[in-house]
Amino acid sequence: MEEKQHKNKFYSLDNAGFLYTAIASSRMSTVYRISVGLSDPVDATILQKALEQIIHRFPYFQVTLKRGIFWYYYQHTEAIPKVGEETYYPCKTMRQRQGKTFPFRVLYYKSYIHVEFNHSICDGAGGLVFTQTLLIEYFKIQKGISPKNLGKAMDIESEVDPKEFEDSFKVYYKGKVPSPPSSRKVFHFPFELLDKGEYLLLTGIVPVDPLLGLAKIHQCTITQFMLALYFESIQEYIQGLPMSEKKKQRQLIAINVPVDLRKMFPSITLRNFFISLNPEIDLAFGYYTREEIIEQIKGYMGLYMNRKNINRYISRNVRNEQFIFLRIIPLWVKKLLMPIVYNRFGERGYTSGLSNLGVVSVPEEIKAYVKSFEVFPPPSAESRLKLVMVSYNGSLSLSFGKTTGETVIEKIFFRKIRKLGIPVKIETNKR
Amino acid sequence: MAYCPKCGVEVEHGVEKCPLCDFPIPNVGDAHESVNSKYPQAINTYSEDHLGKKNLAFFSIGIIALSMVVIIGVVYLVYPWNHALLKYAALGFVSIFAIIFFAMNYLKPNYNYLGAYLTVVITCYCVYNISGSQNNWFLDYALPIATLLYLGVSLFRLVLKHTRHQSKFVFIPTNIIIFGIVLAIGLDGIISLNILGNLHLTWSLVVAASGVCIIILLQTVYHRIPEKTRKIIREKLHI
Repeated sequence: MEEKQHKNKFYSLDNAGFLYTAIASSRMSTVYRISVGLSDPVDATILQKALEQIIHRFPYFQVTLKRGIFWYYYQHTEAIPKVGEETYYPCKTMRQRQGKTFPFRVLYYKSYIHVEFNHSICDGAGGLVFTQTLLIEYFKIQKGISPKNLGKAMDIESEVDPKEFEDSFKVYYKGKVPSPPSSRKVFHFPFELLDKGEYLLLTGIVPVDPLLGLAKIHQCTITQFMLALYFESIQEYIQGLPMSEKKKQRQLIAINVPVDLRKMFPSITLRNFFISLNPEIDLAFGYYTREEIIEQIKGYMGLYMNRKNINRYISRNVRNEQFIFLRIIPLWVKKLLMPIVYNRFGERGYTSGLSNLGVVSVPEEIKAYVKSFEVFPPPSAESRLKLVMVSYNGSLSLSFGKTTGETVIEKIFFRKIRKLGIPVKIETNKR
Repeated sequence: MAYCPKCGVEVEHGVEKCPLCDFPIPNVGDAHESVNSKYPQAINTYSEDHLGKKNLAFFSIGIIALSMVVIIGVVYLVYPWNHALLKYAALGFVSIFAIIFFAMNYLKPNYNYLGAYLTVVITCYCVYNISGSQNNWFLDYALPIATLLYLGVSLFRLVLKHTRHQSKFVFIPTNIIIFGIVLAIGLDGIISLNILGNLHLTWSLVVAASGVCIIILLQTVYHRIPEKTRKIIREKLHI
């Protein structure tokens, strides 16, 4: 009965979803990837069967993107998604307007399962829930394993809770909160772009424990420590650029750090629910040591990562969405203007992005069959290099998604980790 | 396990160069072990996806242009109406279709620019013939101005190709100004040659002088004045 309620259902996009559909282009597919490495080659038939079994539990993902007069929207579809072998570049643009396509795709190659999501439907946390559920069902069919504790995965026999697809931005929105200050123009990597449609991935796999130990020594979190190393790498790159010292000191480095708001608000939504903070270092004050960068980040996070300040971002975003003059602009005009607006007010404010999806776990019973977890950011033209970190089973995957062939930043970054005495394994799709 | 001696990182087995620094990786493993990359050789579908849409748009425009030419042709043959006007209309459709074809970038960029130039010249020549004009405006003005524009755009593209990776806020305005100067001198020259019979540049020199000053200003700001020149200025102008 519950399932029927969701059929022919219209799903309005969430606050972040509105933005992602409006700015999507051949360069910015707004598609991110979750990769899972298994111990054995993937059985495509079983994977397809598992997907068919679980999709009814995620009716809000069994949808297709439609064009309205003013906004895009998602509509439930009876079609069943099909798994496919990986052939194309990762995070390829999703053509969604034919009515039979989904805002996600499930791919496989050798012993890897890749689930790619359009960011307009869900964020990394939502995507991970879906992927974990898919994995559990896959092993249930393949090996007959029925885990007792599902962890964050969904029980596919349970009822769909409407809160799973609520727009939590609107639920926790408080009006009349002043907007946060607007961002300043910051340093952008001057790297040559790859051809349209191409996207490179580069992952560094490092053990978590030594990094945790180092973070503990510096009295910060592992995210803050990795963020500091990333800042340091970009700073070192700028120092080595053939430009005058005066010009180098005019550079401002900011890194976009998404914050999962489910930890701050009691939301269980699988759709987007995050806000991005932009910690920055200003080279006008001189070059920073690692300790100084960590202090700067800790200070920034202490000041801004609290409910009161986050409310400012939520309020600004929801207010912008509800602004009547913006709403009545036809969709095709929005599609023309939004990329320019986003470029001007969004991406110009950060050099790169670093997102930590935290610790991913799978039920104990299938742990032996799941070797690795990686998450890759969506491609972007302005922010040509972005980093996502996720840890699984004592390993931390530091995954760069790049729309450039340059590797200078990663080289500095991973050499820094090596200098700390931590082993690094590099994997890439660059040929 | 293979390692990069320079970066100290482990790389996938069978990789010939370090993915970070391109340093050759010494082959230390079993030579018979196959390369086991976790990624396939990816295919870029952008051109195909893009080409499908482009072909559809071009096909639609082609059908419309062809239909219009056929309708005009029938009207031309059946009704003893204003024949010159019908010829202009048919010529207009054919020219617009040709320009759209070159603008859609089916050929190499150089051929597209050349094609667009030739289309403009041929269209002007046809208009000149249909109108049966007494004065030779095609050879005096249309051909030289079209050629001037073609050469100007080619020069602009050439300079942009070599400077586009540098500061766009300096080099793009510089290139536009150079293009403007070339265009102004050319136009002034063509006009003076046709009216006065000799080359007598007037207003274009003002445009050129102003443009050169702006270019020098922009480039100086970008490159900074050399230390030696700065020292001379400091010494000579000290108060």
